[in-house]
Amino acid sequence: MVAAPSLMEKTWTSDSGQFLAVEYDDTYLVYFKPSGDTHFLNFLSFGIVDAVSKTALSGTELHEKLKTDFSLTSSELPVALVTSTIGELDQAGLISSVDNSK
Amino acid sequence: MHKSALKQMAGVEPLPQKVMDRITLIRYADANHILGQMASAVIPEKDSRLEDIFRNARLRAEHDHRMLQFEMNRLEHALVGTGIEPIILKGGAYVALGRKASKGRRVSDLDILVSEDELEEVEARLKLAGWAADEATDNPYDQAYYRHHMHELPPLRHQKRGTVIDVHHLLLPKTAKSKIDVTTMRQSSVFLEGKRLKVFDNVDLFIHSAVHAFADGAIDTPARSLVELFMLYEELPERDAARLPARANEVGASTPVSIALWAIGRFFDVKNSTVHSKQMMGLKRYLVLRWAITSKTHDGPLAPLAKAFLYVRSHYLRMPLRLLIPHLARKAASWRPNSQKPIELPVP
Amino acid sequence: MNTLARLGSYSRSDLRSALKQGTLTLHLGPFTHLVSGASNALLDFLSDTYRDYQVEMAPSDVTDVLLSLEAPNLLRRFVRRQITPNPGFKVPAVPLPIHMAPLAYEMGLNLSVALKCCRFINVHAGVVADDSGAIVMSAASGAGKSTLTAALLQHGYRLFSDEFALIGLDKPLLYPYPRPISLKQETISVVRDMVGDSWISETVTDTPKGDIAYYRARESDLAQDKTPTAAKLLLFPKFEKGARAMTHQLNPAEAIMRLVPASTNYSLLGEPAFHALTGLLKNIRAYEITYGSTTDSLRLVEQITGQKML
Repeated sequence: MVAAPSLMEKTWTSDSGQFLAVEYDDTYLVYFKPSGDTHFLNFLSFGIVDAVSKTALSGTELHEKLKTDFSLTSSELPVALVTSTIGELDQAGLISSVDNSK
Repeated sequence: MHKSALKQMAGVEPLPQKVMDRITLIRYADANHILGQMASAVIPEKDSRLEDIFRNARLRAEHDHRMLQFEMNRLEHALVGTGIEPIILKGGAYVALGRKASKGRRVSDLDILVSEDELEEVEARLKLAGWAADEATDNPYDQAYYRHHMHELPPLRHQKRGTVIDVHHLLLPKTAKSKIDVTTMRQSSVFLEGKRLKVFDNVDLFIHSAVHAFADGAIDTPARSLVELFMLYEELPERDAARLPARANEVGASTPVSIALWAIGRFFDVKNSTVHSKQMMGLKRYLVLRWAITSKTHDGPLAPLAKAFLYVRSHYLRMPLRLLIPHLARKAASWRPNSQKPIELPVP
Repeated sequence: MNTLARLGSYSRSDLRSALKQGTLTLHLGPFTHLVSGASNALLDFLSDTYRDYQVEMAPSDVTDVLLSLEAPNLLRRFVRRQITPNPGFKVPAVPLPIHMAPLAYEMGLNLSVALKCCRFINVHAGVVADDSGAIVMSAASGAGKSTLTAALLQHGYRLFSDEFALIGLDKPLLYPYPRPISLKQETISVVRDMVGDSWISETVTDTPKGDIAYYRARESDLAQDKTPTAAKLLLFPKFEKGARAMTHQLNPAEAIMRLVPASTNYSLLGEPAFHALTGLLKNIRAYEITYGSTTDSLRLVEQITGQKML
């Protein structure tokens, strides 16, 4: 079962060839080719999709990277927020776990 | 509808020249959900209105295929770690394999087959991944009815995407008189490249299509079924076509397959298929049924009669009478003459 | 008779027989429509509201839309006669009393274009244009879109459509489809006062949507029905009784996310639709405007476009 903690342990990836993104101020419209859905992402969610398209990262590594990239502290960017965002992005198919595709 | 209409829609005969005849053909193809197949099989004049119409139809099918591919992706995702390898049936399989029968085909649901002992886990996993009982059948009667008498779980609809998945464990309802040996068919199923999803092999793909068209009551779209069978048959290598009668016999699908072969021969003038069909059945036995299919496909004056006949037959095949009567009685009881409420149209 | 001519130039009996045989072909904007339906109510409506539209008595080619207006069953062809649009696919249409034929016809055409024609992104929106480009107005029904559309037509704009913004897939241009403007309930008298009685069809009363009348497109609107134009502004108008006039500029991403659910085929079209809408919003701004009167709404448009109205 996909329990909450394991999302942070899993390694995530995305394929930049599978989505189109247009930036408007700090929001992104992302067209995801496999599903044909258009997603409205804020900079944080898009930050996740974008980061793991370059290198596969675990949830914990992602959390660290986002804090550095956007100069946020752990209280400004709590683990729970990253976990739930990862969960939603996974549901939408925008990111996927490397462990799944073995 | 004239016999050549089917051939015209399948792209093996040129379109009629007269404008009104063309329009009639398009109207018929659209109403029978084969405009997309026609649009993929027929090459229209460049920059013509027909090209526009065909483009519309192809765009709709492309959308469906994209949706279906993604649903297969999500299905695989939902089943990670279970070791369950579902078989993708029908349209889903044709799309995944890039078969001619998939070109331009509209698909609304994903149909999959698993073994009966996997049903419970598949249902639980799908529900965890956002599917839920579809509103239309989410009542105790329908839920129980499906689980006791049908060959599939009650349809599951994804709560966010609105897509429907039908999880089968048999190809025909449990209560059907004829039994298809699905275990044997599963044994020769093959993996889709790079996926943990499977499909039937070539021969069984055809057999299932025939079973679907002629044994489980899906006669309501005969033109569509015929075009599908024809296209599948056309792509069968000669060696596989020759294996068909024996394999159909082995899995208990001789009757639907022989009718299918007869129909392909009859409507598309495919000699081989007529020969194989004659090998398989005594012609007299199915004369009446074939008459029914023919007159319904042609929309002739006898069509309503033929339809009534087919309806009874298909229900009879599905359910023994003791089940049929309470079921129909219930259907009748829930029907009210003036139950049609005004429905808000999608467009003002 | 495969020649294009004004509907009004044909005799009533020619029209009647073409409708009865199902060969009457309406050419409008990018689409052709084959119409059949043997009812006086329909004939009256078309002879009046569609008199300036281009038609053929028999189709010279296959058509985009195949609409037939028919009785829901044999009984209703004769007794308490009813009519229902059949666009060739199953629709959730309620049979209407025969005198509501105009509504059945307009509804049938809307459904056909909305669900069948996917060479354009169809967005439920009003569109008007002048030489400097098109204004797209997307709103829920009852938000005053039709009144604003009608008002802009009185001030130098031409009608593209009151129901459909047709956005090209290759280039983000707007394509005209100037069907009559459908007016509901109190809007009817508001627009009648604005444009004069002779432009408004007879009112169809007691429909499922209340009273309905149609504001006929002008010959000048129809003359340019093949000329697409670039957009200059996207509006989300909101009429509220007694509201103070207000504008609020929207983030383009948000504007697109509002257009998506107003479109009947955005998700069907997928990637090209994404390119077209992001392309559209690249060059124009989007505003939500709130107002309590037609005068206010016009003033807000002037203010945003920086153009004085004629």
